[in-house]
Amino acid sequence: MNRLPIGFGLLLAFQAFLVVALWAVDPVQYTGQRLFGSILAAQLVIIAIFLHLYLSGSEDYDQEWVAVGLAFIVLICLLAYFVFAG
Amino acid sequence: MTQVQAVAKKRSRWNALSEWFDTRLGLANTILRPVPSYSLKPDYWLGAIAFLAFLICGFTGILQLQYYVPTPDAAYDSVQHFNEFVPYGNLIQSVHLYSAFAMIFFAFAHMMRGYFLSVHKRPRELMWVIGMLMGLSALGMGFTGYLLPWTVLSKSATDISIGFVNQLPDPFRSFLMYGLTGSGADGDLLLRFFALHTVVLPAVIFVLFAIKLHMFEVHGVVKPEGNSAPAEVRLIPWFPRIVAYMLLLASIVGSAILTIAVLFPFQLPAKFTYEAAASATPTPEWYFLWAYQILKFSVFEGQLGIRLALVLLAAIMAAFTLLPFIDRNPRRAPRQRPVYVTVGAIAIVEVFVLVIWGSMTPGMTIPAVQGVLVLGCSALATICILFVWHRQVVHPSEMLYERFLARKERQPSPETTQESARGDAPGSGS
Repeated sequence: MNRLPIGFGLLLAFQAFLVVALWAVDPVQYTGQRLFGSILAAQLVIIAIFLHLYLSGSEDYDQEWVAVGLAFIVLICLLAYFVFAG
Repeated sequence: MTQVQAVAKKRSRWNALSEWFDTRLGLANTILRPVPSYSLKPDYWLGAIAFLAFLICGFTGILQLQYYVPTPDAAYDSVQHFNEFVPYGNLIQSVHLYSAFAMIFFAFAHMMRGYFLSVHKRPRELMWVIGMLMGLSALGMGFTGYLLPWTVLSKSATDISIGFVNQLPDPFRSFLMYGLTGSGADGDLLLRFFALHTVVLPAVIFVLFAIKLHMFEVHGVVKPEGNSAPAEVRLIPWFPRIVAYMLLLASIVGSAILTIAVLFPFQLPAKFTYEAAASATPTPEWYFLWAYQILKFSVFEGQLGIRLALVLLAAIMAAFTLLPFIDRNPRRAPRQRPVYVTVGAIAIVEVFVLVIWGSMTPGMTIPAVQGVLVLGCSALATICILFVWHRQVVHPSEMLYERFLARKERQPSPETTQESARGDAPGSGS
């Protein structure tokens, strides 16, 4: 099974969720600027994963790097939720 | 559809998309030369990352410029207003601060990588000099930007630095003092630092960058030597792969700066007043702590001592700037330049030691013996570690590589084997 399209789909869904969550939690967007900064950082990691997958192309991409990227997104989101949103 | 066909279909879609853009934008035929495949590693792009951090600084700086008032009475209040009441103000200031740190850190890393890999050798001598001037301008940006919030720490630290300049002999003293402080009034000082930070130094960096980029396009990437030399070199055009690679690095660096900015947001120290300054212990930012610590050695007290210290610091900077004209050894591989590699490693270790030491002893005078002991021991430890590393790691790997080369030379190539086989065949001779 080719996991690349599934990975792309999951990341896009997650990105859409982040955007919706941001607007739902903080529609004015500047009262929680640290939360906004965290989510922006997570978005950049997602873009980095996309670019890594694109650059890997038809060659085998390093699943470790994708895993590290996903772990960073989770870490940043957890930090944003527990430290700043509370 | 097999997996190979699916991947090929996906690739053709990507290619079609990139070709659509390229037909309209002409990016594949850009003036930037194709990049060798071996340079698609982050350490080759440290200078680009430093310049990216400079651009982030510029963007966040322009946003702050809308609110900043460069007068001693209003500067602090305008920064405080931006920090507390302007949408995203604190985040923008934090990103500005940490991208400035990133610019200086990556510029230093870029310089030291170039030093160890000898990128300053012929014909790139002037590229090195221009890179050093860019690094000094970046330090100047940090120095002038530190004063602008007009806090008790920044103003006191700047006063001390200007006090050092005031110890210089004429005409250096009068020239620099007029350039930095004007009439000597606080208003003149702030306005000059503001102009240097927002106009003069960014313009200098942009011009130097343009010259360096042109020279880079002429000379290209330095090919690694020794056993790290690539077996084959593929040239990759800028669009779309190199652009994608640069965006990848920019995303990672931008994400790291943002994460640090939200975890450790910028906090404005107290406003400068002469009463508050009397009880404050001024410290410079971390990238000047090494020089600050040297100036605190007791041997550099008094006017003569300060002049000696300034001459020493100027000599260090001049030696690094003029390195291509000092290091005339044509060899590039680090293992063939043990003296320069050792000196570079000691320089890095001493800078780290001085920065940490300076942050732990703010405002304290350091006895000369203590200074000699700490710096001497760290230099000795560095030499010992390098010696052991060379004997245990570098030397055995070199031996293996040489054996591999010797075996490769002994083995006949397939063409030679075929020719000799034809030559040996009966009836083949004339």
